[in-house]
Amino acid sequence: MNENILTVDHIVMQFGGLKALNDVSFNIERGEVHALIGPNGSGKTTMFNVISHVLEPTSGEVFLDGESLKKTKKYAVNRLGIARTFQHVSLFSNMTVEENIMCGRYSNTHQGILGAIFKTPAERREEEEIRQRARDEMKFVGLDDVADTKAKKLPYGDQRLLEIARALASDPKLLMLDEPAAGMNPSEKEHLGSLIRQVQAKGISVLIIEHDMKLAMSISQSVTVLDHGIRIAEGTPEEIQNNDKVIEAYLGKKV
Amino acid sequence: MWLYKLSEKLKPFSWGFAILAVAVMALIPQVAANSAYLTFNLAMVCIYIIVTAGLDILFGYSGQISLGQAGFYAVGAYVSAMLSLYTSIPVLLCIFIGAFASSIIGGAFAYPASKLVHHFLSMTTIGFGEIARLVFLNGGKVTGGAVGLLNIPGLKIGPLNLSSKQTFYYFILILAVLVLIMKRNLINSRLGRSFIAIRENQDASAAFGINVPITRTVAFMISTFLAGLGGACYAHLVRFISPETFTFDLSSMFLIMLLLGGKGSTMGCVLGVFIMTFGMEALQSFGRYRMLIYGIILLVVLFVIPMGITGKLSDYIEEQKEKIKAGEAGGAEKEGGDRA
Repeated sequence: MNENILTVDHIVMQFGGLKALNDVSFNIERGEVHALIGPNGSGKTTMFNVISHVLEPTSGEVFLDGESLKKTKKYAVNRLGIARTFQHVSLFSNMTVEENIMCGRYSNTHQGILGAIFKTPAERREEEEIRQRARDEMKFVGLDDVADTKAKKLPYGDQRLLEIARALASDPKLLMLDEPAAGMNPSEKEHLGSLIRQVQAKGISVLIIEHDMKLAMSISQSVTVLDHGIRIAEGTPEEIQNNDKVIEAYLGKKV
Repeated sequence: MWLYKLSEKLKPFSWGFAILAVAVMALIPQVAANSAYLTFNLAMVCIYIIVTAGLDILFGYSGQISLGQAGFYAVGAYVSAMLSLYTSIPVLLCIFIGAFASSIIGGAFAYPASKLVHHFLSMTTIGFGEIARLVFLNGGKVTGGAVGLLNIPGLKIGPLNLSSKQTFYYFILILAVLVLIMKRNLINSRLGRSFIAIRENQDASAAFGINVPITRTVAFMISTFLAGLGGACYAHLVRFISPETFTFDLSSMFLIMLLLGGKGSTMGCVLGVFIMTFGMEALQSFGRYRMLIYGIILLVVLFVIPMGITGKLSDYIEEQKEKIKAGEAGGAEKEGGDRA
């Protein structure tokens, strides 16, 4: 068993003349919550898109559990154990809450067209399992009383929770959260923090992009800081909070 | 309010209504006065239901538009007709080979096209529809050219002779019912959800393991299978086919049926097909102005009820449901307030 669940190895991501990520490397230890922070435009979401294979990096490699993801297809990343949420909420808006989470189970299930149209016993069993799992995840994030509500009708904070529930339904080894607290009020943020701790307690490693420093620092065990596509610091939350380079990136140079 | 309450009361009986509707459709040819004419039109209704159900899987659920369904309908019709004319393969098998041929051609067409979105896909499907028609028009003796194919044999299953329009109607009716049930099953499955997921959000679909181009192709193949099946049934019902049947007009009529009835529902395509089939029969006397009327119907539908009749109804019922819920919640709050 590999000690690191995810290894990001010298990733360069170039868009034309712009290097969005310049030789970035970091590790996520198995079972930890790892925060990825940095000012706007520092390349955090680009990093997410490289890890989840939405973008093909110009050079460098990503390893999940010691296995290179280089040859993996975009849609197969979830099957290998990476589930993510999106900075801009990307739910299936016209589906209900329950159906959204059921979709999260796609990679772990396998019934095809014949099972579907003939409603075979195996298909019924699998559907029942998927439904049960969706109910469990709904309960976990606290959306069980809106199971039949369409995703687009949910308040913003609940939509973010639904994205997390959908991601968890796929039994990920690594859960990637892209600004999950954006648009949440303080009590929702507190709920989110405790959810992330419970996810960690289940043995799932978490990579989180977060602008709310209080939340990011309170839930994470290690932090990577990006600025202009360069990794400028890595360490525990305490080390990061006292790091001059980080303070400079956020607040500007001392005069 | 009454509509919501009515829909709630009727919900437990929806299967009963479906069976009743099928029974009525089965009885009409036996009791109606103008029975031959009516039976033929009901048979066409069933064929159109099969095709429109396929189009709904493609457009209503997976969000891809096809304006070339007539082309796939023609492939099913011609393949089945030619096989039954030139070989000794039983007609029942020919019908399904026709449907499979249409599906395979659909797949070969859809995989490269699945990378296109929105109107680009619909453009290529228009192209396909025209190409298919021209191939059959210029196919020489094999396809019968402009004259088409005559004397297509009717359906015989073993000792059972279903070649008369009356008996073949029952075969198509059963087929249409099976198609609607299977469509419903499909939509409420893992695969069906993946179709809807792609319509809703392709990035999120891919992030959760759905192979978007392949899944879009599968949806396309199912829809072209059903178009081919409808076409094959048509060939053995009318027993004569010619290229002029399979024009762009027919493709657009399939789409209007779906849009008018309401995409994304079982009842939608059934309703749309009935209204259009019998409506168009009623407008027969307008002759060449019929296309103009098609166009006006399409425009009115798109502007007034973009979700179709069933879509509009279910939206309305949903709205009432929410109002009632909000009313109850408001009432409860008031009560709580009184107690405090």
